[in-house]
Amino acid sequence: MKKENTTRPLRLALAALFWVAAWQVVAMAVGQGILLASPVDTLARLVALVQTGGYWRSVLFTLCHILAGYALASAAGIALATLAARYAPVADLLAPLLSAMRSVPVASFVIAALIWVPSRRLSLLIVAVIVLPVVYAGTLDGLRQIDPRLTEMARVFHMPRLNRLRCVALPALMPSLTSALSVAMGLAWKSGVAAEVIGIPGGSIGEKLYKAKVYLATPDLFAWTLTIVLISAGCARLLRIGLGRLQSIWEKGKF
Amino acid sequence: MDLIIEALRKSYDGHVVLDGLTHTFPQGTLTCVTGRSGCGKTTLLRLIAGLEAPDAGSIDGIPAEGIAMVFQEDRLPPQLCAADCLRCVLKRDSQREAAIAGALAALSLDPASPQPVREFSGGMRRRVALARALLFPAPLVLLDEPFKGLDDDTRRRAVDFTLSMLAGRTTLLVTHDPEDIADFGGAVLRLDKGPEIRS
Repeated sequence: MKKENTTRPLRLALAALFWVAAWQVVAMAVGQGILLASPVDTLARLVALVQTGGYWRSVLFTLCHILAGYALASAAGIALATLAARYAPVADLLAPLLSAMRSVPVASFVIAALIWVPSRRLSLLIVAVIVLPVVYAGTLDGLRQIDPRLTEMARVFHMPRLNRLRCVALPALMPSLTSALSVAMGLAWKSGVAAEVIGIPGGSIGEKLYKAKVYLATPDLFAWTLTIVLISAGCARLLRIGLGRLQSIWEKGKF
Repeated sequence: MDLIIEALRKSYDGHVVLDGLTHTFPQGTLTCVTGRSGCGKTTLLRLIAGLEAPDAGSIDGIPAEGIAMVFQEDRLPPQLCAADCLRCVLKRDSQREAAIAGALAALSLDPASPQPVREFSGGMRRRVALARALLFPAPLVLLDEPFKGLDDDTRRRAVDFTLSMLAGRTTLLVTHDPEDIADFGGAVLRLDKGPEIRS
């Protein structure tokens, strides 16, 4: 089991290397960079891009809007789910709205929102709309996992609120909430960039992707896509580390 | 203050569990509540603890300081060690740590063990639940089969410790075990024979 754990990163790296090699072989077989940029061309273009100020300004613009939408929607999702877990009519009231938010295509939201919101703020709104139902559902599911017998025990013993949170609520809530926040982070990047591609706010990653499509600059398209994948994975990793640290603080804290 | 129960009635889906129970538990006394399974012993404790509402009748004399209780199940946060299971319900003061260490040691548990209670045996968890109830400074103590699952030696130690902690506290001890009734003495309330007292 221990050996399994220690060799897994190496095996994953080898698997990634295999797929990059396969990509290179296919790109060489196609032989036209405009149809399929090779990994080498993509990397070369990315290296060139990161040396420009515009690259970092675009990254910052998109990062700020997506993370702001993500944070706002996560806070709202957690708050609404807490209310819904406590008051059944709130859950009933929200159910059709959140169900609609989950099923309506991102593109429909984007086009509808463009009428009301300037394109520079579009990604923030769209990310919020996509993230909120995911975080809401994860939080509600976690809150429903709380053992009612422990809740009763806490009530009988007049357990302080902070201790109730630490001993009864968070252990039940966190697995589901962590999973929802991680999934929502990936969705935030996908939907946020999609909104930018449609809204084309100046100086965003979405605008760069749009221009790459218009000018058939396939290496640019791949380089920007690689950028999105790396930042999205980085955000997800930081989120997991942050939540892990938070969990460790309350688990190891003294009563 | 005496704990006074008047005309208490509770039913579940039309099945009457308690039908007009009237009884006074004098302050500072211990009463063994007994009777066949399903006669309403646990229901009575849950009604007194305010975890359920009666269909009719009243309960007076619930102390404002709260109630200490051993539930039918252990109800311990599974991720906590034994000492933390106690700390999380006890106020932090200069006596707390010594009291926790003393109680756990008296019940043959290691107060310094970091092992979470989810890894404990059933008997060990029962003793942690008992220690929690006995250390909680409430004048009313409800014990629902607190010695369930304990071997003879451990039970003996648990009974001795329990007796030492109940002085001056109104206690209801739900039990099926005649040995418990013999060990604790006091009044016996047999629920399956109606609100009748045998001392």
